[in-house]
Amino acid sequence: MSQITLLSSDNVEMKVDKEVAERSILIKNMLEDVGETPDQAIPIPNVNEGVLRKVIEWCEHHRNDPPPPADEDSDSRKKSTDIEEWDQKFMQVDQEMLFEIILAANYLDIKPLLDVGCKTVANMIKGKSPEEIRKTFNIQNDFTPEEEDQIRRENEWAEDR
Amino acid sequence: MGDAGRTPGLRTRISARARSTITRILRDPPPKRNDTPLNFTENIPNITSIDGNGSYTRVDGVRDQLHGPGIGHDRGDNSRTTSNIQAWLLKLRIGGNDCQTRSVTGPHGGFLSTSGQGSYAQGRERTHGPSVSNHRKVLGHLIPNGLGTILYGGGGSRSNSIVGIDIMTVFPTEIVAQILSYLDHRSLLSCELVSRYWYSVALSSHIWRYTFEAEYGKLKAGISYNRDWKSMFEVKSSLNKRWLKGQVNPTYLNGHSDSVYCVQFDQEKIITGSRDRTIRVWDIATGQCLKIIGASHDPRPGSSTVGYHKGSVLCLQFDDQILVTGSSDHTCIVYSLPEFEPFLTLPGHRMGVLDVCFDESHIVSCSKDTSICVWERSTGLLLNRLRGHEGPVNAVQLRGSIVASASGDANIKLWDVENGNCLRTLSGHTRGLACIQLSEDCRTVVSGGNDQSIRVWDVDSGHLRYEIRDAHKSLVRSLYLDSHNERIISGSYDQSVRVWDLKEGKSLLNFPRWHGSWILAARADDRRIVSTSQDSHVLVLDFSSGIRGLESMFPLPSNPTALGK
Repeated sequence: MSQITLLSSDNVEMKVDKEVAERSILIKNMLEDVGETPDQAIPIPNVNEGVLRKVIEWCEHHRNDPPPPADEDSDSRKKSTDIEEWDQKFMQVDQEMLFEIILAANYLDIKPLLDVGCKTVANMIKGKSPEEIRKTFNIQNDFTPEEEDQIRRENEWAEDR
Repeated sequence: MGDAGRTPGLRTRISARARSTITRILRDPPPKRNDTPLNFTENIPNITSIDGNGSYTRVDGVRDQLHGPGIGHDRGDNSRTTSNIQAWLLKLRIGGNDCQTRSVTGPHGGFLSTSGQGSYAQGRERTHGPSVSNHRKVLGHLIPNGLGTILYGGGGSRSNSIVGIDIMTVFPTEIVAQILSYLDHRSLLSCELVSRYWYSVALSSHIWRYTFEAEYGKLKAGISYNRDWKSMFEVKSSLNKRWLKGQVNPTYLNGHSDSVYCVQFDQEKIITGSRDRTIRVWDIATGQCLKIIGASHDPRPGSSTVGYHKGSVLCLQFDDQILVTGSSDHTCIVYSLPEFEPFLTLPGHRMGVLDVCFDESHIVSCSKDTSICVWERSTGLLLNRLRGHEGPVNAVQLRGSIVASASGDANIKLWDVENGNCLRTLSGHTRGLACIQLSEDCRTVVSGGNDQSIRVWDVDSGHLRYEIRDAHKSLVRSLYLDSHNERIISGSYDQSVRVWDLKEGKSLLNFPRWHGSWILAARADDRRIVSTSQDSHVLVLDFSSGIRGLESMFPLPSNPTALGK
C-alpha cells in the first residue's frame, strides 16, 4: 500500500495511505494531475494539524465506502438528517472543531464528510425556538419587537389550528 | 467537477409579500440594542449572494491579516521547488479562476447552482484560501481572547465549547444553504426569527424547494422550478389542512336539463356530459357555462360533417388537443380543441359506449355490447376489439400499455393495448362492477361496484391488497384515484361522495347528500372535488378558496384561448 505525506498548515507531517487520502477529491485530482506518487509532503495550506488528523480519521474509517450514487438529483439529497452511529460519535466535538471539519471537508472536497457535518449542524437547529438557536450560535437578536411580530404574523399559517 | 453552470450569487426568489416585509424591515435602521450591528442594508445584495467573503467582510479589519498559515513555507529550504506538486499547487493558488473556485470555495458550491465565484475574485488578491483561514480569523475575532490560534493543535479532545459561533459568519453560502436545506419548515421558520441576517437567508426559495419536496414530494416533470417555494409550501400546507377537515366552498353549476353522467376538469375548465345529449364547458373560476356542444345548440345546424350525439353523453375525456365522448347512441365522437369542432366519429359498438379513454396514440372505448375497442387516435381506425368479458363493460382506463376494464360480470381484466391480449383477470367482487382506476405507476387497480365495496389490487401479483367493505350504502358508481396525493374519491348511488386514503383505505372525508340523487361521477385534483349527479347538477367542492398566494402553486393559465372563449 503506497503512502503519501500530508503537511498541515502548521507544518506537521502526516503519513497516510494513498487510498485514504484519495477520499479527498482535491488530493485525488492533484495526484492524478501530477501523475506519480510524490516523494515529498503535500502541503494542505488551509487545514491545521488537529483538524487534518480528524479528517484523516474519518477517511480511514470510510476508506472502503462505495462511491455515492451518481444520480445527484434524485435520492442523494434526501431530507433525512439521519447520521450513522460512528459518524455521530465522530462529530461529537466542540463547535469550532465541527465547523473546521466542515470547512476542511469543503476545501478538500470530501462530499460525504461535508454532508455529515452539515447534517450535524442542521440537527443543532432542528426543533429549536429562535431564542434557543441564538443561544446555540451566540447570535444577537437585532429585530425590533414590531418586526418580530410582523414575521410571526407572516408565518401564522404554519401553526396548528 | 460541478463547476459548469454555476452562476455567481445565490439567486433567491422571494414572494412579493415577503419582499415587502423585508423592505420594510430593512428600511428601518437596525435597533440600537445590537452591540455589533451588521450593516444590513449593504448586506442585502450579499444575502442573495452571500459567500465566504460576503459574510467575512462584516468582521472589519480582519481581512488584511488574512494570510493562510503555511503559505510562505514551501518555498523555503526545499530546492526542488519546480517539482510537479509545486507546479500543481502554484496553479491551484494563482491559476485560472476556474481552478481557484474549485479549490477554494469547494466543489459543492454547485449545490444551489450557485457559487461565490464572483465575490471570491474581489477578495482574492488579499486573501489566500479564504475558506478555512478566514474562518480562523473570524473565530479569533469572535472568541474573547482574540487569538487566531485557538484551534491550533487542538484535537477533538476539548469537550466544552467556549462560546457559540454564528454559522452565517463562518460558512460560505452554499454550506449555509446545505445546512438549512435539511430543515423541516418549522425549523426554517424559527431560523427566520433569529436575526435580520438569518431572516433573509432562511427565506431563500431554493432552500424552501428542498423543504417542499421533502414534505410533499417532487412536482410533476415539466413544471418550472423557478418559483416561490415558500409560498407554495404555505399553500400546500393550508390545502392539506382543509382536506383534513373537509373545509370546502361549494358551488353548484346549473344548466344541464337531465342527469350529468361524466365530468373532467383542469385548472381552467370543467367539461360535463349529460343525458340531455349535450356537453357543457364551464369556467372553473367563475362557474359560468362557456359552451354547449350538441345538435340543439349548433349555431350552424348541418354545417358539421360529423354531427352530434343522438343519445345521452355517457363518458368523456379531454386533453389539450382533443375531446372524446361516448354515447348511448353507440358511437364515440372526437372533437378538436379549443374549437370543440367534432371531426371524427368512431362507429363500432353495437350498444351504448359506457366509458372512454385515450393516450397519445390510442383511444379505448368500452360498451354494453361486452367488447372493448382500441382505435387509432389520429385516424379513428379500429385497431383491435378486446373480447372476454361476459357482461357489459362499464369502465376502462388506459395507462402505459395497460388497459384495465371492469364489467358487470364482476371481473376486472388487464389487457395489453398493443396486441389486445388479456394479461390478467382479477376476480373477487361479488356483484357487477361499475368503475375502475389504474394508478399512474400502473401498479395499483382500484375497483368498485354493486357489492358496495371498494377493492384495491396489486397489478403485478394480481392479489387483492385490501378491501373497503361497505364503503357505501349502495352501488359504488364512480372512482377517481389521485395517485400523487394518495387519495381515492368515490361517488355512490347512496348520494354521497367520500374520500379514502390510498395506502390503507382509511376513510378521510364524507360528503353525504350534497346532491339530491345518485352520484354518477366524481373527480378531484389538489384543490377541488367535482361531482355530477342524476339531479342534473354539477357540484364543485373547492378546498382552496381564500388561501393566500394560491397562484404560486397554481399559476393562472397562460393561454386563455384554450377555453374557447
